[in-house]
Amino acid sequence: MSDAALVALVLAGDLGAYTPLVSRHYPSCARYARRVLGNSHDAEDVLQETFLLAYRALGRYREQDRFRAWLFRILVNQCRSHGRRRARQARRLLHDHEARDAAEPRSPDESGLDDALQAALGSLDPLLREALLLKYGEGLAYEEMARMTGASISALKMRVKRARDSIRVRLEESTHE
Amino acid sequence: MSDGRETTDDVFAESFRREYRRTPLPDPGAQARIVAAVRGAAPPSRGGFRLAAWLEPRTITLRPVVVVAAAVALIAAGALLARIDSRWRLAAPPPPTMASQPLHAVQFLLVAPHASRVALVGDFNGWDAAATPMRRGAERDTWMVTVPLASGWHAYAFVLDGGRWIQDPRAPLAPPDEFGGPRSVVVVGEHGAGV
Repeated sequence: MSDAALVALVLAGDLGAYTPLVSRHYPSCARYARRVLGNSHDAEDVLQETFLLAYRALGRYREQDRFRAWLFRILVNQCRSHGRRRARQARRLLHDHEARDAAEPRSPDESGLDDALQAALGSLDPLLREALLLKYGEGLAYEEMARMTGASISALKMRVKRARDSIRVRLEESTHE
Repeated sequence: MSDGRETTDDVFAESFRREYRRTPLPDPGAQARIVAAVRGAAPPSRGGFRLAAWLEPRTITLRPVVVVAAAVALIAAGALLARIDSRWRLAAPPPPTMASQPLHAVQFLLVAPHASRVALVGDFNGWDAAATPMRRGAERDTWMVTVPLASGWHAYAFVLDGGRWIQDPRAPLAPPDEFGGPRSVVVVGEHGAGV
C-alpha cells in the first residue's frame, strides 16, 4: 500500500495505519538523525518529535508530495532545532565555570558510532554535513533539498561539493588503512 | 577529463552510500516507543494544527488600553510582532492540539511588495513552509498572519515564493547556531520582549 493510501486511512480514522508508515521510514530517518547529530540519544529524541509532529500535521500532507520528502523536511528542521537547543545549552555551560568543570565530556556515541565515516562527518561544518547526508546518504534531489532547507539549489550543490572534497581524502585514507 | 571526474565522484558516492547504509540504528526499542507515543497523541485532523482556523476573520474583544499599549510597544521596538495577552478573548477556543497550554495570539507582518506568496516558518510549525501561509493585507505590499503561540522563545523566518528564506528585517535575530540561516526570534507571554 502506498504512503499516500496509508495517510488517507489515518485521516479517515484508522489510526493504526500510521504504524506501517513509521516502520517504513524509521530506518532512513534514524540513519540520518544519528549521523547528523552524532549521538543516539539525541537522535532518538528527534525521531520521536519528528514522527509525532508529522502525525499531528498529517492533515496538511498532500498526495502530490512524496511522503518521504515531506517527512524529511520535518526531520531536517527538527535536527536543526535540536542543534540550536544544544548550542544554547553549551553556551550556558560555558558561562558557568563550575558547571563546565563538572560536566562530563560528551561521548560521541554510547553505541559505538565512532567509525571513519562519523569521524569525517564530524569534521564538517553542520550545513555541509547536512547537505552531504541528504544528497549522498539519502539520495534526495536538489529540488527536494532546497524545499527542505530553504537554501538555493546552487548553494546546496556548492555545499555538497565542499563537503565531498573535504572528506574524500580522509575517507579514502581510512579505507586503505 | 570530465568523465574522469564524474567517475571519481560516482565512486565516492557509492562508497559513501555503502558506509552510510551500515549505520547502526538506535536502540531497537526506540521505534516501539515512537509508536506508543503516537498512540497516546490526539488523532490528526484534516486541518493539521488547524492554524487555518486562526486565519479566519473573527470578532475580538479588546480593551482600548491594550490597543494603545501595543501600538506604543510596536513603535518603540520597531518590531513587527504584536503581542496580545490573555486579556484578549478570542471568539473561538484554541485548537484542541494546543488547548493544554496557554496560547497567545501573535501577529507577524512582513513588507514584501514583490512576493507572490509568503509563508511563516518557525519552531512552532516544524519549519514547514506549507503550514502557515500569510495573507496579503489591504496595503498590497504587506503580508500578515496571526498564530497561536505558547509562552516562551520562538525562532522563525519568512519564506518568499516557496523558496527564499529571509529573517524578519524588523525583529531581533536569533542567536547564531551551528546551522546558520536566517532566523529571527520572538519572545511571547510572561517572558516579555527581548532575545
